[in-house]
Amino acid sequence: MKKEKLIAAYIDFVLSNGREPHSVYELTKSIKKEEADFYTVANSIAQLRKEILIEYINKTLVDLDADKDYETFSSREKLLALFFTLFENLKANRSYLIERYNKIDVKELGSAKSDWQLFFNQFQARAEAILAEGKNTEEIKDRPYIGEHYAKGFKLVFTYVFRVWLKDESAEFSTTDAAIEKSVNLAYDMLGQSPLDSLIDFGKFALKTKVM
Amino acid sequence: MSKEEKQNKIPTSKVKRAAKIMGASAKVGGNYVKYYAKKVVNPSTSKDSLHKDNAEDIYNSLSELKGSALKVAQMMSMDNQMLPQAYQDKFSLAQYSAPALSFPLISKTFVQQLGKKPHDIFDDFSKDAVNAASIGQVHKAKIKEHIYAVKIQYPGVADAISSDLKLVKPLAGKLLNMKSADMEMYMSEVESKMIEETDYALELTRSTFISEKCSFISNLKFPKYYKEYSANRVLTMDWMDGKMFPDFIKTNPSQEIRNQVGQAMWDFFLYQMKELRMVHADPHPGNFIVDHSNNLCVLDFGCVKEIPEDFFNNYFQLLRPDILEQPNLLNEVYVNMDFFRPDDTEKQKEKLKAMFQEIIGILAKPFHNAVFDFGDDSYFTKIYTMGEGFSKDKEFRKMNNARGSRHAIYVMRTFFGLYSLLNQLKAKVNMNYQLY
Repeated sequence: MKKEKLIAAYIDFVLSNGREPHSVYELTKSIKKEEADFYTVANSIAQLRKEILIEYINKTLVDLDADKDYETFSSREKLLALFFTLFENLKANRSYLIERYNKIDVKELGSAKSDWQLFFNQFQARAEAILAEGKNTEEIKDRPYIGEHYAKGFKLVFTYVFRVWLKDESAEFSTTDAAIEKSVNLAYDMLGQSPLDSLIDFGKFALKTKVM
Repeated sequence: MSKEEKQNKIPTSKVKRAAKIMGASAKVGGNYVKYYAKKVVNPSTSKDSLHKDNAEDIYNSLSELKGSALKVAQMMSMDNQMLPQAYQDKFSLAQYSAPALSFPLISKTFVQQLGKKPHDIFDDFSKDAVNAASIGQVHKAKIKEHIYAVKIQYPGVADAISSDLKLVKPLAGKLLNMKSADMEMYMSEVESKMIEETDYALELTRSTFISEKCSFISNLKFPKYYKEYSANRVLTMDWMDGKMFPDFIKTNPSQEIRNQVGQAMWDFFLYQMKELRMVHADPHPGNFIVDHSNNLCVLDFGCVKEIPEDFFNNYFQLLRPDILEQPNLLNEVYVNMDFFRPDDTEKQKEKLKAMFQEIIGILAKPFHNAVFDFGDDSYFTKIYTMGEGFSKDKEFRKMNNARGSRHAIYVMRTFFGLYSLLNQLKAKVNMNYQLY
C-alpha cells in the first residue's frame, strides 16, 4: 500500500470524525483494506503521524534544492526561504494540523511532541548546514560553547511561527509572512556581532568580580 | 522674545512633532504622553527650570492649541494637514522603521500573486529595494531595454491599519480635544482611505483612469501601469527618470520653468476636482518627479478622494470672491456642511462665523485673482498663524465638538499640500479653473 494513500486516509478519518481512529483496524476498515496492508508503511498510528510531518520537511528540502535562485542566496536568505517554503507546504493540510495541534488536549501533549521529533531532526540538520555556511562567510559569529546550538534557536522560531500560523486569519496568511520575516531576521541578527556578545562579556566579568 | 511669548506661540512644526511623539507612545498611557509633551516643549525654554505646574500648563496650552487648530480643521478642515497627518505619521512611523523585505519573501509574494517568480517575468530584477514607500518597497526591473518600477506591499499592512488606528484613537481624541463619539466620523474616513491605499488593484484602475483623462494637460506625464504584472499586492509601472521634486527645487530652476511646472501641477489638481470629481489626495513632494525636459511626472495614486456631488456644490461656493457679501448663501453652506451643531447658542454661532470668515478670506484668496503668486511668503505666514487668536479664546475651547463634513478632511489636505508645493516652487500660476 502506498504511503501517501494511507496518510490521506488517516487525515480524512481524523477530519471527518473529529477524533483519532481507536485502532489500526478501524482506520483500515474505513478504506476497505486489510489491516496487514497498514504495516507495510508504518507499524503504528503514532508512527504514521510522524511520517506526515516528515513529508512536509522532505518536500520543502526538495523544493529548495530545485530552485535555481536558492544557490545564490546568502545564508540569511536561505533560512528565510526554508521557512517560507515550509509554511507554503504546510498549507496543504492546514485543517488537519489545526485539528491535531491547535485544539490539542493537555493529556495528549506528550504524544504531540513526539510527533515532531523526526521532523525537527531533519529541520535542524538543514538549519545547521545553512548556519555553517553563514559561519564560513562570517555573516554570523561562531561562539565557543553556544555556537553549535544555534540551530536549536531556529527550532524555537519555528514553534513560534507555527503557533502564529495556526491562529492566522489574515488574507493570504500575510501575518505569518510578517512573523517569519521578523523573527528569522531577529534570530539571525542576534547571531552576528550583537548585544549578545557584550552581554556574555559582561556576565563573565560580573561573575569574576562577584559584586552582583 | 520674552519667555511668556515663546510659550504662547508654539510653532506648527513643534506641534506636529508633539503629535508624532504622542502618537508613538500611545501604548504607554497618559502620563507618559505628558512627560513627552514636556520634553518637546522644554528645549525652547531649556534654561528655565520648569516647575511641574508650569509644565502642566504648557502641556495644557499645547493641547488647547491643537484643539483649536483642529477646530479650524473641522470647520473648514483648513489646518495644515493636521488631522490626517497626526494619524498618518503614527502609521508611517511604524512602517518606515520596518526593515526591508527579504528576497525570499518578495519571491514568495510574486508566486502567490502572479504565479511566477520575479526572474521568470523580468530579465533583471534588483534584489534590494531602491526605494521605500509608506506601505511597501520599490524594486527596479528590466525586460529587454525597458525599465520598470515594481512596488511590493509589506505583508500584514492592511490588518495593521485598524488596530493601529484603534490604538491612537483615545489619544488622538485627547490630543485634538474631541469627544470620542465625534472622533468616530473622522476616524472612519481616515481608516477607509488607508485601507484603500493597500489595494493595489484599485490603485491601478484609478491611476489608469486619471492619467488617461489628464493626458491633455501640457508638461504633465504619468508612468504607464502594467496590469499583466500587477496584482493586489504587486504594482508594476514604468520607471520614471528625472529629479525628485525637492532635488529639482535645489537646482534652482529659472522662474519660467518654475511657472511651467507649477502650472502643470495646478491644472492637474484643479481639473481632477472640477471634471473628474476625484482627486489624487496625496500631494506630497515624494510623489512628484521632474524630468529632463521639465515635465512634471505624477506617481502614486494610492490615496484618491472621490468628491460627492453635494459636497462639491456646497463647499466650493466658499471660494466665490463675493461669498462674504452673501450672508444667506453663506449660512446655507454652513448648515449643509454641518459647520453648526444643533446645540450651539446664537452667541457661539456668531463667534464661529467670525472665525470661518477669517479663514475663508485667507484660503480662498488665490481663486480671487486671474494669476496668483505662490512665492509670496507673507501669504503663507498668514495661513500658518491663522486661527491663533481664536485658540486663546475660552469660549472656543469649550466648543470641542466635531464640525464640518468628513469629506473635507482629504479635500483640504489636498489643497494644503498643493499650496505648499507651489510655495516651495515659488510659482506664479494662472487660475484657469473655477470650482464654483
